[in-house]
Amino acid sequence: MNPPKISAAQLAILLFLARLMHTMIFRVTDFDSGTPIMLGLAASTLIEALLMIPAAAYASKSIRGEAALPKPVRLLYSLYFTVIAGGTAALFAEFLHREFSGTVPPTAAIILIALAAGYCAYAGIEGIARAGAVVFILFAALFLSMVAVSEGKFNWLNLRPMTRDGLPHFSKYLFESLSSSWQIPMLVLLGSKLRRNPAGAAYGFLALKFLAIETLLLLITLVLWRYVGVLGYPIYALGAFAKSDFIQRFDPINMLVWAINCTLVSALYICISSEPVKSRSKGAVIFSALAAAFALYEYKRGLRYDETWFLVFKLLGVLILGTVVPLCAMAINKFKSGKGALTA
Amino acid sequence: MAENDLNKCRIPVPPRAEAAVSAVKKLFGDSADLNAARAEVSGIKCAVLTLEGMVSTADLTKILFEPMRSYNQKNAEPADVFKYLGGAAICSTETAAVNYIDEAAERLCSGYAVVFIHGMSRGLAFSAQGFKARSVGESDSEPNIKGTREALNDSLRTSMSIIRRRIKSPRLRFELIRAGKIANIELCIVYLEGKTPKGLVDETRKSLEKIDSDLVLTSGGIIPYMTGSSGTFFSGVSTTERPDVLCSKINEGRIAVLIDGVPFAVTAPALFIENFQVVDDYAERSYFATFQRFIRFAAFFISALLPGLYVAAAVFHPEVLSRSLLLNLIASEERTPYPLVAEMIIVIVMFEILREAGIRLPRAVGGAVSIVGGLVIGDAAVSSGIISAPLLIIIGITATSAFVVPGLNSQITILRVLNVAAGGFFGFFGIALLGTAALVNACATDSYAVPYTAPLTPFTLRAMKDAVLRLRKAERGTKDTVESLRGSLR
Repeated sequence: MNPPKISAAQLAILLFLARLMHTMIFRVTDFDSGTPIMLGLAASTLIEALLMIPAAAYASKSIRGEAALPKPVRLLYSLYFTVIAGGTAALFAEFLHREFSGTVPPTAAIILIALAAGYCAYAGIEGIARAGAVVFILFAALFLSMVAVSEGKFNWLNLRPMTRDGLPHFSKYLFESLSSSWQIPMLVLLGSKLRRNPAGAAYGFLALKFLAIETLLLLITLVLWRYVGVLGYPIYALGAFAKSDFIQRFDPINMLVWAINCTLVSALYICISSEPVKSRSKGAVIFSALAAAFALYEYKRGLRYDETWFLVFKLLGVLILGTVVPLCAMAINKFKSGKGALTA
Repeated sequence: MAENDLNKCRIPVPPRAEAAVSAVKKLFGDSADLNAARAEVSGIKCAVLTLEGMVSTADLTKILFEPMRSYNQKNAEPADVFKYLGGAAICSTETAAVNYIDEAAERLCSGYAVVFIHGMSRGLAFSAQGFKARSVGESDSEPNIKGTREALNDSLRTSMSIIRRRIKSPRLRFELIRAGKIANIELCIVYLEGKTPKGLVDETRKSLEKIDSDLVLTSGGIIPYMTGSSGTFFSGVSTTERPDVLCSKINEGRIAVLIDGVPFAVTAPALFIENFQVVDDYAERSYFATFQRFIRFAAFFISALLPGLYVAAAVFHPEVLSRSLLLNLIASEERTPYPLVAEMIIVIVMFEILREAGIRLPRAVGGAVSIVGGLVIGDAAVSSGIISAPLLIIIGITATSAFVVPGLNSQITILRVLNVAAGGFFGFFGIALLGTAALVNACATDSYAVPYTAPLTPFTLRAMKDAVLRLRKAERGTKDTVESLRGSLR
């Protein structure tokens, strides 16, 4: 049997969906003029592009079978992504509870997401990657149809130039955006699943992310501006302007597509977390249960996934697992191969 | 070849013709359909064994008995008779020497006549098949407007000739193997040399050789061996009764397996997109064929999702519906005694019962069932307030849409029920979760290393000219083969 392999485009889309999911369920309470935030995103994308270099180099070595992480280190990645999966499920459950309170209790939502994501993770990375392309098209279709029937009006006065007052917002968003870039350690792990061109996947993702999120931020700034803080979820709030004779409100349709993405992205996290377990079914069960347990704990205890300590934890994960570990692994490999050549 | 029970006891043919006949009779347990005719050829005793109804008496008389009677040689030895019958004197399409009793039995079961010559420890088997077979008729399960009126036949040889008539090329290969521990049924692997990947042929052969069931009575008897134990919801192989469809698939580099006694061919690899392509597409103008394909896609989504979405929208997300529609719904649902989810599931189950009855009953009565079920019961249920009229309309649209994509009927039915349950209990959230699981399942299905969802995902632009669209280019020129869709292997 051939080992599962995915294309660079599929990986770029998966990483983008993971990032988009995080943007969707990120609750905003304080949103000033959009310019600092838009510039914050641009700056964070530039930094991510630099941080991606070791990850992409390591992924390219993984494709050639020249790199493999030791099991304890690999388990660290598993734990990190289990926490991310749990956090994603908990945040989505909170979103459901806030916006669709009568639909499903948060506890049940978390368990259901873990069950569905566990099953999808069991189906394997190829299935998730192929489904990712469909979800991406679904998103594009939803976005375009909502834009077509949107009743929102652009107010160009909202797009004010950045001043000194905007600096705190700029740095806050930069920090938040960097702490959400765990797609870098994902690239380290998914490199071995790629057929070729990890750099294409990495920079394709960054370009896609920058264009899509920057567009969304621009739309939010032009249409909603500061009222986002009142409304909570910016992208969801933007969707509330869409209305047609056939579909009165797009909110539930929005939620449907988000739920699909949440399940798929959680499945991706569980799938890469369960890699060290030999049996795919056991791995999926163990890590989906762990993710659900963490999500329930987080939700019940009222831990805020977007609190500063959590953001620091995520940023440390990005830096250590996405940059330091691959750099060290490549250095050790180089040292070993140099020593081997000398001995020979 | 699958291990046959008969092969377990290899008894050599005894030199005495009567002893050989007794040995065969013993092996068949004195079965009533075993005939043994005695004759003398130039003074040498011979026995001719046949199975009732398996050989053509007229052919046998012409090709065997007449030459036997005409052979007259003084002091003939058994070896002379054997040489004469096994030589040019007998005009049978296939003559073979048999050295073992079980071998003779196997030949008899395949419609051969076996001759034992006294004094020879070998027999001769002559091909003289002449069993009654159904004549070549129209396809009932895959009707069409402008395609062929012929369908594959229960008789393997007839089906082979039907295919050969459509692909008159020496590159068309038929490879016979046997399966079924007791039945020892003939299977035929059909492929086009140079187009079908060799690995696909080898893999299919290997999987068919693993068949360990006693009988192979339907295509379902070989499908599990071809698809493996992957436990996927969608099937990586498909069946067809139509020779034009089959030839088209073979021309695309696929493999087909014919089963003796089954008028359906199993083809692999199968793709999701194939369920939306019909042979009439290629007889229509490309713009109309493309439009029809879109209609089929829409029908698939309507039949699988509409009842679930309706229940979810009505119960949890009424804000989606327009005000007038919502008021209509409320007014009609107020009269019904059951919750909407229960009502929907009851009507779906009732519909499935009616459908099943329509299929199982004789055709003349089947029509009456749909009249009684659809018109009488449906009308009475709405007027008595047991079910609401909008719900019945939804089911009507759903049921009609399901008939448009018959290849996915089993998956659509299950998805529909699950969607109603998911939508009824958890709203759009439940449908989203179920939809993702089904989508990932379909995307993870591979058939002989070809992704089931190709060329949609992984996307192959070249193949799209005859996938969702049916561009003019697709009707002329050479077809792309399935090998070009190996998204996971390229």
